[in-house]
Parts: sequence; structure tokens; C-alpha cells
Amino acid sequence: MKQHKVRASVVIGAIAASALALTGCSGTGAGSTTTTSASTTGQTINYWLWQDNATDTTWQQLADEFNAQGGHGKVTLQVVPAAQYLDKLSTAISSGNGPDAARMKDSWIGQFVDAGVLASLNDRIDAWKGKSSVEPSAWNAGKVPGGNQIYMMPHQNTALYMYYNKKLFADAGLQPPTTQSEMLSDAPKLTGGGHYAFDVRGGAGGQDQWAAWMLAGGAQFVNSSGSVILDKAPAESVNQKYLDLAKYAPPGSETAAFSQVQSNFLAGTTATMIHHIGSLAAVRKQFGDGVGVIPVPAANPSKPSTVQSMSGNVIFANSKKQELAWQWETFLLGDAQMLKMSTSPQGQLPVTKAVAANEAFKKDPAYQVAITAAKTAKSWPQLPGTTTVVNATWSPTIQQAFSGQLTSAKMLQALAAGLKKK
Amino acid sequence: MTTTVAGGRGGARRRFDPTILLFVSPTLILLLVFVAYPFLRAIWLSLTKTTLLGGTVGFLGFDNFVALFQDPQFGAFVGNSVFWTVGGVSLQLIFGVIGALLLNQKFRLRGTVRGLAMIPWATPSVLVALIWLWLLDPNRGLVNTVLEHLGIMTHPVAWLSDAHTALPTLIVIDAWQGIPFFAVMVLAALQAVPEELKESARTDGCGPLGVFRHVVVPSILPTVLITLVLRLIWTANYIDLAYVLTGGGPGIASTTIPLQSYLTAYKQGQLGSGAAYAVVQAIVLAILVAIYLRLTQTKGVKR
Repeated sequence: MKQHKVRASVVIGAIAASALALTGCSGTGAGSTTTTSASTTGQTINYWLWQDNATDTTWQQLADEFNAQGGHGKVTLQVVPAAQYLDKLSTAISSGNGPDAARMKDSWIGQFVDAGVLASLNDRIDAWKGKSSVEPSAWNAGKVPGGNQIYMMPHQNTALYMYYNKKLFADAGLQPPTTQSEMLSDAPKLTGGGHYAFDVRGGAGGQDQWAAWMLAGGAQFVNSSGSVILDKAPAESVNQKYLDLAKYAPPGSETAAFSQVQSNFLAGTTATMIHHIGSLAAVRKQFGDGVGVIPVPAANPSKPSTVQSMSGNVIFANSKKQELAWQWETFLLGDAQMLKMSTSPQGQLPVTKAVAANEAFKKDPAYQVAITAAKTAKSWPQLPGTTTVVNATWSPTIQQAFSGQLTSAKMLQALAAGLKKK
Repeated sequence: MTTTVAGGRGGARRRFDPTILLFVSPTLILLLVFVAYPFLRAIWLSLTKTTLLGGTVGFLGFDNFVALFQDPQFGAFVGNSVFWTVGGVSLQLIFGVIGALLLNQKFRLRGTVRGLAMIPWATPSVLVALIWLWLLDPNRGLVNTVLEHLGIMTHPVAWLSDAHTALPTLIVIDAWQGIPFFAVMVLAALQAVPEELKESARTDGCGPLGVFRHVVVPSILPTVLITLVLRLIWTANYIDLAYVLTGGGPGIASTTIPLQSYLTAYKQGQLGSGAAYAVVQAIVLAILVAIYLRLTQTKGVKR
């Protein structure tokens, strides 16, 4: 039944997208690519991306629509598997064989900016009539701490929230937790008989759900001047609570990646899961109305926070087709294109105001939790050391903390040192 | 394109013919491009500060090596590498020889069994890793389910997530994959043992064990040694299983030197430091390569 609702919202979205496209009522000029000064006709840009859903054709459809438009050049897509994306992109850039433009995550930007390979987009953004269509906070995802230059056009956003299994909570006589203390006191009651409270996900990608817990608990990555304060109070105690949750996690959770975490939640093995809107369809397909969505339990529910991860688009400084790359990237921010992507099987939260206000998102309680969470969410800081921490340091460090080889404080000191590294 | 040959008493003296260069040049060029250049480039990188995105920033001399040896985790990487290599190859040697002796017996469907026995070896490494990831899943995996039903375990074991079991589990999987290669190599050697030698030994009063010890073992020993050295080299460099199954974890419990080289170069973006790990690994393996060359030359002379 819920699945039908999801499908219905996708259909509504698609109809709305078509209507927007036909009437040209974006109202903002976002996605308009025909009013540019320099002609790019005859050019072709190479655009790299990873797919969050390997079988979804939305990206190719958007490229086909762009290429079918007149008045500008064309784009060719090069899809790279997500697990190898950063390695291959970095290698290609360093060898001078990189693309003209690419999909990018906010947590990766720091090292690319540090290497001087990204083009600053400020002048183009200021001159773009679609600028006001984008949620103002989304621009911050393309900046490095302490700087005003924007290097990434925002595109799709995720703000992490918590799923909970209504039946397991009801069986334990519990209400879903609103605070981290409640989560810890509920955890033993949700554990037993082959069931567990929560997957701590110490493997690949687990840094985001950990970061969501840390930020919700009041910890910070950096202060207002951009200095790393991850090892300062209250981070140690918030982190200790997360480490304590491992006692109520299923076997293997200390090294689990998302596939295991999702399997455990869908099988009813775990009662809760921190993730984002990207898994909503799969979760609803399994549980229907039996699953609830709540904000990540906070230290103080009146001051909620979570982590957000923005994926966007960059243009490389050495590209000779930057104008065409810009046309492609602003095309993707058009209302119709944004709605199409956000309602696709790999869709995440839209970053444009008009699409965020679309019925497809307004009526869905899970989207509402996510959109509300995004308003107070923070990204990983875009420091040169962030990519290494996210990709290489975080997993082994927290795994050592789970096994007692590192204390909570030592773990945070190691991560803070990694973030500070040039 | 005449070659050589000037006669002399007791043998021929070879004369250099420039056309030989023409024939070997394609191989030489390939070796220079794909072996010599990357090898020298890796040595050069190990002496520099080079990042994946920033390129070579400066010459450091041996600083990368000093940092590597001063890293408190380096000892663990070395220990893991030795345990992984010796453990994996020992199991392959023991069970490979046993497997070869079994496959050398006469029984029905022997050819089919010999073919099926090669499947683990012929399966791509990443696929092997994914199969075992599924089998060893602590919550729904077949291994835990069977062991719990048999009463061998009372609760599920996270084989790949526990620092005490992760590397031993990887070693068992590597052995499972490598035993068929060992078995086939030894089987080929067993089939080449002359029947008349065995018959002579029996005539001289040797029992089955005596024939095995005095005839079979000396005959297959060169093949076993060469296979052993080859497997030591391959296993020492083999990172696919650990990368897919544990990522070197939990913590650094299954991180070997070549895996750390890869993680440093491509996950941390530090090509210079990563190359330093690779050079250390290459120096250690050079000893094994020298042994291999010595063994193969000796075997060649005997032939």
C-alpha cells in the first residue's frame, strides 16, 4: 500500500516535471541553457559520475535531453563504479587525462581545492539568473572552511535520519527515542532473541552515520573560524555513547558496510538504522507502514542536528570547455530536471526551492523529516585532510576503538589529527 | 640471418649476430615499458613527496623509509605479512600434496574430479571473496548456521570482524583457493615418476612408504620447491581477498605490507609513502626470486 503511495508520488512528480518542462514555468531561469554569451555548439564535454543505483537510467535520460536541445554542445557521460570513483578520478586528474566536469561529494572537495584543480564558480554563479532558485545553505557545501570561493554546484542532498521498526519497539513496550540517553537505555530492551538495537557500521561508509550521531550529540568538526575541534568537549562523551552501542549491535557490526546494515534492518534483526532518503523505497517495500522515520536522537531534541552529504558538480580548471560544462551543470538544476532526478530510484533531496516545495515531497512524512533535518544539518568540513579521514582513517580507527585498543579520546585525537593534515 | 657457429675442437663458439636484436626487440621494448620503467618509477617515487593530485612536491631522500620504519604500526604490518604468507602457503603445501596423492589414485570419474578440483583456482579472486563474504556472514551465513546446528558453536561468530579470527580466516580462504594449483603441479610431477624406478625399489625390498620416501619424494621435490617459492611470491603480493573481505581490518588486524602500500597510495593519496612500502616489499621478495631462479637453473642443468 505504501509502495503504491511512493509510486503515486513519483508519477505526480513526473507529471509535474513534464508540466514544468512544457510550460517553461521554472520561473527562475534555472536550467535554461540558451541565453549564454559564448557559443559552445560543436563542442563535447566529458562528464564523470558514479551512480547510486547502477541500473537507473535517469542520468542518461537527462544527458539525452540536454543533447537534444539546440544552442549548445553535447555531453558524454562516463559512469565509474562508486567504490572506485575517487581513486580513478584522482588518478585521471593527476595524469592529465581527467574529464571536463564531474560529479563530486562535498567531503572530497578539500583535497581537490588544495591541489588547485577545480575552477572557482563565483563569477558564473553571480551572473546566473537561476542563483536565487537554489536553497541558500546549499552553496556552503561547495566552499572550503574559511573561504568564500564556491567550487561545486549543489545538486542532490542527503540529511541522515533514523528508521525504526515499529513492531520491535511495540514488542519491547517502547516509544521511538528522541534523545541519545533514551537510545542507550532502550538498547538493552531491544536486544535479545536474535534481535539487536542498532548497527554501528564500522566498515565502509559508516563515517556518515557516526557523524550524524556526533553532530546530534552536540559535537562539532570545526569552529566558526575553521579550526578542528573534533577532539574537544562534548565530543568524547558523545563518541563514548556510540561506542557503547556496539554492545547492542549484531555480530560483525564493527566492520559492517551498508549492505549488511540494510540486510539486518530489512530482516528485522536490528530495530533501528541511521540512513537517508535513498533507502526509503527499499525499507517501505519491506515494511510498508511498519517502519517509522524520526530525527537522529539528539543530546537536546530542541537543538537537533545531523550530517548532510551534498553531491554536486565541479568544473576542472584545465578544461577548455568550461562554458559548456557550466551549461550542463545549470541544466541539471532546472526544475523539471531536478524533480526527475529527485524522484528517480537514486533520488535524494532536491536543492532547489521550487522542487523542494513539490507535492511529491511535501506530503511524505519521511521526506518532511529529511527536509527538516537538512535545515540544521552540517557537512563534513571540506578540509584537505577530510578525504583521507573519510576514505582511509575512520574505519580502522573506530574499529580499534570498538575492540578497546583505543579510547574514545584517543580515537577522536587521531581523527582530528587526520583532518588537520595537509 | 645466418647465425653463429664457428667450429673448434670440442665445441662451437657463438658469434654475435645483430639480427638477433631485431627478433628480441619487441620483447625488450615491452619489458622496458611495462616492467623496467614502472619499477624504476616506483623507486623514484619512494624518494619523493608525491601526492595523487598534487604530483611530486619535492625530493625527500630516504625520509619516506625512515617514517615507514618509525611508524608504530609497521611491526604489525610485517607480522601480518609473514603470518599471511607462511600460513597460507603452508596449508596449500600440505593439503596440495595430499590432494595430489589422492588424485593420482585410480578411481571412477577421476578425470571429472580432477577438473572440478580446479574450480577454486579458476574462480576470479573478487568472486571468491564475495562468495566467502556471504558464507561467513555472522547473522545469516551458511558457516555459522551449520556450526550452530551441529552444536559446535552456541552463538554466531563474526569471523571477519574479530581481530583474532580475521587473518586466520583469510588464510583458510586463500588456502582453499590455492590448494588446487599446488595439487595439479605435484600431480604432474607424480605422473612423471618412472614406474621402473618404483618397481626397482620394490624389488630391493621397499614397502609403499619406502618407495614414497626414496623414489617419489626425490622425484617430485624440485617441482614442489619451485611451486612453493612461486606461491610464496604470489601470496605475499596477494591483496584482493583482504581488500574485499576486511579492508585490512578490523583495525589493522589483517593489513599486510602490500595492502598498506595500496591504501597509502590510493586511499590516502600519498604515492611517495605508498611506493616506499612497495619497495620494501620488493626487496624482501627479491630474495625469494633469487631462490626461484637458482632452483629453476639447477633443474635446467639437470635436464
